[in-house]
Amino acid sequence: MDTTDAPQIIEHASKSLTFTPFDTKWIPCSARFILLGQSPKAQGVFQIYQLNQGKLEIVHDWEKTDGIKNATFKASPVSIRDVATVDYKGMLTIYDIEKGKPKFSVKAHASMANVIDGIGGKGAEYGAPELVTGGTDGCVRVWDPRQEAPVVSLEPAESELIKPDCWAVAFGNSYNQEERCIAAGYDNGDIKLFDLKTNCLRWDSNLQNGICGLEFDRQDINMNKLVVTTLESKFHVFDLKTYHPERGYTGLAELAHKSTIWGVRHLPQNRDLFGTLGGNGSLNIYKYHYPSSRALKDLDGIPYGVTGRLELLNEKTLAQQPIVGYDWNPDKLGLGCMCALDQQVKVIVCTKLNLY
Amino acid sequence: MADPRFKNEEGGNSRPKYNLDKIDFDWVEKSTDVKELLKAHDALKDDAGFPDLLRAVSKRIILLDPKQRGRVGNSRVSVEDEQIAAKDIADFLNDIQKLDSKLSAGSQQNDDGAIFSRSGQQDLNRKFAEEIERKKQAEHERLKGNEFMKSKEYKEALDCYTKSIDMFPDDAATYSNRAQVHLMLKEYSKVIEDANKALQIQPDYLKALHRRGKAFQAVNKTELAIKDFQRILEIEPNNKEAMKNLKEARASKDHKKSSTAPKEKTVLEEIKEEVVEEKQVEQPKKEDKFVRVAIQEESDDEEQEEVKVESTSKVQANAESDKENQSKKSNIEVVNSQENDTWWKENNQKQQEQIKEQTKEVSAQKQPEEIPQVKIEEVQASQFKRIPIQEDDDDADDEEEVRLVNPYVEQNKPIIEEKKEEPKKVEQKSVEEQKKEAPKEDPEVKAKADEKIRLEKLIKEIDQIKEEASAEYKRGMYDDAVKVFEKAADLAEKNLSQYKYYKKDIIEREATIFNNIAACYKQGQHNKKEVEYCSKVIERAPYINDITILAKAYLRRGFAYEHLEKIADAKEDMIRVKEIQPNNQQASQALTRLNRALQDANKVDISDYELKIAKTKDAGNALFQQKKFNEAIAKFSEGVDIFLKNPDQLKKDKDIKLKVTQIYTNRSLSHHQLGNHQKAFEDADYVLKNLDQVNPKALFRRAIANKSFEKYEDSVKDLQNLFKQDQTKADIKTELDQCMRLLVEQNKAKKEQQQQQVPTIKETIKESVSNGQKIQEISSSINDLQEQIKKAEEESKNQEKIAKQLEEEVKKTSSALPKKTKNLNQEVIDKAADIATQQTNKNLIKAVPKTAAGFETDYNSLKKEPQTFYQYVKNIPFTTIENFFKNCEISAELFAAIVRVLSEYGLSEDIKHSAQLIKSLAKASSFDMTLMFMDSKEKNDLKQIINAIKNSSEIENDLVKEIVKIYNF
Repeated sequence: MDTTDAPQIIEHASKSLTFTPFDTKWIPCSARFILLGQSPKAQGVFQIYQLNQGKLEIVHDWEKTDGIKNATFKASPVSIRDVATVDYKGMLTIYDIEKGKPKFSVKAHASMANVIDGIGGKGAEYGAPELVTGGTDGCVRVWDPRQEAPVVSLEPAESELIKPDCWAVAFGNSYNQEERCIAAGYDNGDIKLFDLKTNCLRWDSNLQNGICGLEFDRQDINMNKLVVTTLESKFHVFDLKTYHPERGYTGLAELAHKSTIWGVRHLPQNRDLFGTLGGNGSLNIYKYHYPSSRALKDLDGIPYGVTGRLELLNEKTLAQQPIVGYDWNPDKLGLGCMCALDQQVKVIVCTKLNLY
Repeated sequence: MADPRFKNEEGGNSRPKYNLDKIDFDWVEKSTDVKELLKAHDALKDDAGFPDLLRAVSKRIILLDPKQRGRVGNSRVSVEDEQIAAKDIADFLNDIQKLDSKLSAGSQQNDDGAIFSRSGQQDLNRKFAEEIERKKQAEHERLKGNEFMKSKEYKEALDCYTKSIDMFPDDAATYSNRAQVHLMLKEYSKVIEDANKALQIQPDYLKALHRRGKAFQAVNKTELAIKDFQRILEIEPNNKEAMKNLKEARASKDHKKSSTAPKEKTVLEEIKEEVVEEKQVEQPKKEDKFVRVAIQEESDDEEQEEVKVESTSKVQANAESDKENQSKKSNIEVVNSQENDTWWKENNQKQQEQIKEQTKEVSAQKQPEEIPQVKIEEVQASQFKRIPIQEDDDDADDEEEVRLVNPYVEQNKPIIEEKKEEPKKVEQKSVEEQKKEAPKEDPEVKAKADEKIRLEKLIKEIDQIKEEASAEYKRGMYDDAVKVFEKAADLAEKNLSQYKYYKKDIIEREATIFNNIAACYKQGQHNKKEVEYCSKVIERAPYINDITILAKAYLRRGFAYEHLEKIADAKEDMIRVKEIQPNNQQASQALTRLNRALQDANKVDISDYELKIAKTKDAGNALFQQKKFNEAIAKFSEGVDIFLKNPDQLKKDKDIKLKVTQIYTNRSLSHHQLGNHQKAFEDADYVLKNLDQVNPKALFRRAIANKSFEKYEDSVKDLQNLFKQDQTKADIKTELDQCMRLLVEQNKAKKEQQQQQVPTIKETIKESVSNGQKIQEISSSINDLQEQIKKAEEESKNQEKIAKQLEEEVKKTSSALPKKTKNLNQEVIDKAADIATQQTNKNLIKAVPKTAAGFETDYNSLKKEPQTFYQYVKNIPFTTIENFFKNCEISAELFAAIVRVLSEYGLSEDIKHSAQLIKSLAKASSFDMTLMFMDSKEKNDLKQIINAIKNSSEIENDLVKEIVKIYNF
């Protein structure tokens, strides 16, 4: 019984807040992270913390006009660490993290924007930098930060009486300059996989429960796996290697957290490990084991995907309220920062992940 | 907030609350059901009241299934762990903060508003930032490569590592990793190349050394391989992997020395010879599938000759083992191997065009950078044998999974190698053989030598096919792999008859192939096929030198049996494995598992039986509905047979019991339908005796069967039981009435005599029954009767039975009377009551009550028959009576009755006894009170008795005095 090899989740530093945090992201190549949220006066909060000898030191604290919901560094190269954010008013804003000044701003959604993801900040061979945003208006829009108008806009049909609320978006399949996909999840359980190269919908499904978070295991490879978290304590892992014309992508479902699962974050250092963020304030670390054969053929000889199995490596309750923001440090394996609705920001360390 | 995400549903409210009561330490110790334990664990965790129990459950779960560790493991973090983590983070912070500040400085200078892109300025900071970016990106690619390695996507991994190296060429780890990919892809020259680069950057980089060692060994540079492995062990003396490899390398080196010495000078000749040989052997046509390159002999004879000479000469040069030009040497190896492979494909006409390309390639290979990767890959792949697939490879680390061996030692003796111990044996043996045979220069030896050459060729051929199959296997195309393996097996089988001396080798090889096929089937979950092929291997046991093959076959078959739930067979196989390889861990684990399973075997078997039984039942029912009774009976009998194989165990399972019961009752009904009442009776009887005592269907069917045999009592009995269960069914009622009537008629004759004996009782009961008001009284008296009957069980069985039945009948009648009086035949009731009363009374006379209450109830039933009551009382010993009333009063009524019978019969029959009885009764508690409640008539009776006693001469004076003293009126 070697419990010693199991990864441990350790609280490294924490700090209480006077506002409601929504998202936290490490600044690439640093021990600093940004913390975004909304103050009781309904104003936006943009803070930068520095991790220093087990303590969190606040470096910058800027006030913005509207509560900030979500942010990403993924479209920025390491040398220019600009952060793209979305806020309560549906504005997409790109900030300079040294001065906190907006570099670019555009009205992305009619009402509140929920989520943003970025891609392309890693050099020419990975394609141009792009951002994707999802809003309560049900729209998913792709942005080139050099243009004021969206590159692509996926909008709910006019005929739909109740417009779905888009809660999750992610980029993936960007294994060369041209290929690129976006996945979007909605509050009605719809999930859509849209190919940006061919401008067509690749896959469309409904998972019954509203989708709170989704992420490709790796953005810049031929799409491999997609983890989707939903309401009602459920999350799914889809194998995106094999598409079957009738069955679509094969997925497995897992119960966890006994509450809404707010999101999923794959380790930047290992795509087969990921953490899920529980509405009960717990963080679960899973490892995905591939099956011995990832595709089988059906009776007509058409291959379909086969899912592997999940191993829960550890779980820990880190907050009393849902964990809404979490980010793995891209430079240090197992280092993460998180914020929860109980107005806490924490830095955690997950040990022994190198063994998996 | 309206946001549904804030609803904190408790993970599906439908989940039933776990019953914590059943969890205790014993239960935890015994439980083997991980799922159940996990439920218990979660429940305990939620409850949080039993930390010790929770720990015990967690321990048990981890013991049973270590993979659940994450779920149940202790989430508390030790101080040491925390410190280590803190230190780790501190180190990281140190490095990263410097980097960060530099980057920040750069971007502050660079404040020109460009988004996500760089300005045109070229300053130092810019360059620095770009450098960092490149490094990060390279690392990212390397990590991606590692991920692809883990999921066995070697091609992608190779691309990623190459990209990483392009971006940042100074990382030893990336080179070492790429060497690993090459190793997996069997591109040994590239392995060596990359490993060398890694070692240049970081000397004594263990992984790189190790990989290079393996590659050296694979390309037959045993000396160099040994050197690398030794170096690893110098740095890390406990590196098991290296030790193992070193052992292997040494073994093959020893072998090489002993076998190559006499032949060394003729390397060139040997190759030529081989070429000739290979021309003679007809090649299967499929070869063009896996070797794209082919040489047309006529057109390019000269060139080929050239290449050959070149290669062979270099091989010779290699033999001198020049240390410095390792990478170059390996290229030469490639040339050489290509040569060998292409020779025997000359018949292939289609590929004429490729020849030129190929020759170009051959020349191109002199410049290592320009080697066209794919082709060499393929050619090389055919030279080096891939080890047969290991058991349980899903979880094995990639590095360990595929072990490479060189089947091609210089004398061309292939080595079948599965485990590390093995090559020694085989090699030594063959060497010995050779030595023995060598001196005899007779034709037999020659024939043998010839055959040996042919054998080598055949084996090579088989290996090629196997290689192809392995590739399929690796890709996960198990069906295709099986097909290819089967081809190899066919080939071996076909050629078997042509060999005289080396049959054994071929059979052994064949066995290996079968083993591999079994492995394929295992992956495809075709357990039966797996068993079949493993059995084939085992059949060949007498020919197999290498026990590991056998062990593997047994192990695999064991696993297959386990999957097929043939636990006993599986266990047998595992025991065999343990005999062959006492240290085989898989077998040990399997054995413990199997033993546990054997204990639970009942369950496993049962589910199987259950299914079968259910099937026969359904089939039978269907036939029954079609009124094919005979067929239905046959089907039901099948089910019964299944059940009867193991009735005791199966009976324990509720579901099966139910189903079997249904089968029996249904079969019984079928027999009834055919008029075969005897069989119907047997079936129903079996159910009632062995399966379900109160099964209504069985009862009903037995009753009908009994009716047909004119055994009305039994029939009535069953129907009554049935009626008790369900009073609403009309058919039961009518049947009961009918049977009852029949029974009564049948019994009339018998009864008549008895009736005469007790006419009074008959009348009284008749009265009471007809007099609806007294129904309650009857029922109570009947109840009493029942009790008494039980006491009188020793009595003649036949009588008792009748009595009991009747009594029951009456009882039911009386209880049902308020509603159903009309339905019941009055006459029957009367008669039944008569017989019952009379019969029980008879018995009662001889019975002795056990308690005062019993005495009183007996009195109640006998009070109408004073004489019988006297007899009854007389039978009771005085001490018993004394005991009865020691602690309770004797009722005035009872006492009076006793006095009355005494005065009536006692005084005349046995005055002494009467006196004694009177005295004993007087000892009852509160006897004074009893006396007070007596009326004058009774008192007179008593006085009479006392006087009689006084006057009697038979009684002792003391007793008289005592009585008089008590009954002092």
